[in-house]
Amino acid sequence: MGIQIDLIIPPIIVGLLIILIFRVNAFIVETSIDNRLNNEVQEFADLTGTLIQEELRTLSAFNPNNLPDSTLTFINLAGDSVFVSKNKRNLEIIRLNPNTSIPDTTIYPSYLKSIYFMAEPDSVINPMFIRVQIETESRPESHARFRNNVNTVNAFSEKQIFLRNLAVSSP
Amino acid sequence: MSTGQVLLTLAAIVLLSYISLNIQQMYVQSVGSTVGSQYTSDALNFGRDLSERVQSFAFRYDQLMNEFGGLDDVSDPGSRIEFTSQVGESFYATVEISDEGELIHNQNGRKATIRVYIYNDASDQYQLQAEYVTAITEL
Repeated sequence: MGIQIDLIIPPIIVGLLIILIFRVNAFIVETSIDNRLNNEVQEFADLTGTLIQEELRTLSAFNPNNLPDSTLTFINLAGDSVFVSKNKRNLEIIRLNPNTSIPDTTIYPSYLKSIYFMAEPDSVINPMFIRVQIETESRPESHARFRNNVNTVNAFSEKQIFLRNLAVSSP
Repeated sequence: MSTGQVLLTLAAIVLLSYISLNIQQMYVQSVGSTVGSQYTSDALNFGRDLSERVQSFAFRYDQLMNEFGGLDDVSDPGSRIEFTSQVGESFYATVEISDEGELIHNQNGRKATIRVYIYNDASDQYQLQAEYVTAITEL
């Protein structure tokens, strides 16, 4: 049986072209969603740093020996014990009134992967700064993946926060 | 193959290469934009850190110039502040402290201009990433 090359080749080319067009479209979707998620986790990292910075405005005392750690504990101006830490993928801030012992918990969804607090300078008894390092990560299921469904995007944020209340109260 | 078929084949290959290169370029641009966004964010945070550090000298105002004076040349390692971010990129900052003068509400103080740079290997130059101006008065 003779093979008609002239009849077979055109449909193959058209098929390849269709695959190429679909693949390019899929690629554009993957890339644009990756970009959006990257911006999102970056914003969440920065926002988490800002939230912690605002919370630390109320700091009146803390024990630098507990740092570096992934949890920050301090006493605020109202006398409450405040615990700042990561809970699952969220930023959790617990304010504990010493008289009532009723915790006031606030949870901020933050895509958190890790959080780390350090007292600075670490060589002195009364450090005047707290450095916070934040890493956020997207969820694999948030991505549009056609082949690889485990990859995520990460973002980082780092802030050195001046403890004004301590500086004011220091002799 | 006839000349017409050869020309058509060549044109098809050129078209396919053009499309493939454009797609690759789009991907590279996307990654570049993501990395650039992380660098900008790190530079802004570093500038803000320095602003906090400058503000801390409101309580020891007389030491301000000892700490930040002369930090005005980004290309000189002795006249700049360096910082390595979590992603391993180095940032360089200069702090320009103005002369003592009246700021607002009859308060005397100084203005600190903080500039954060990143070193660009391709152009062999320091590229400005962020700039902050903060005022400091003696408390």
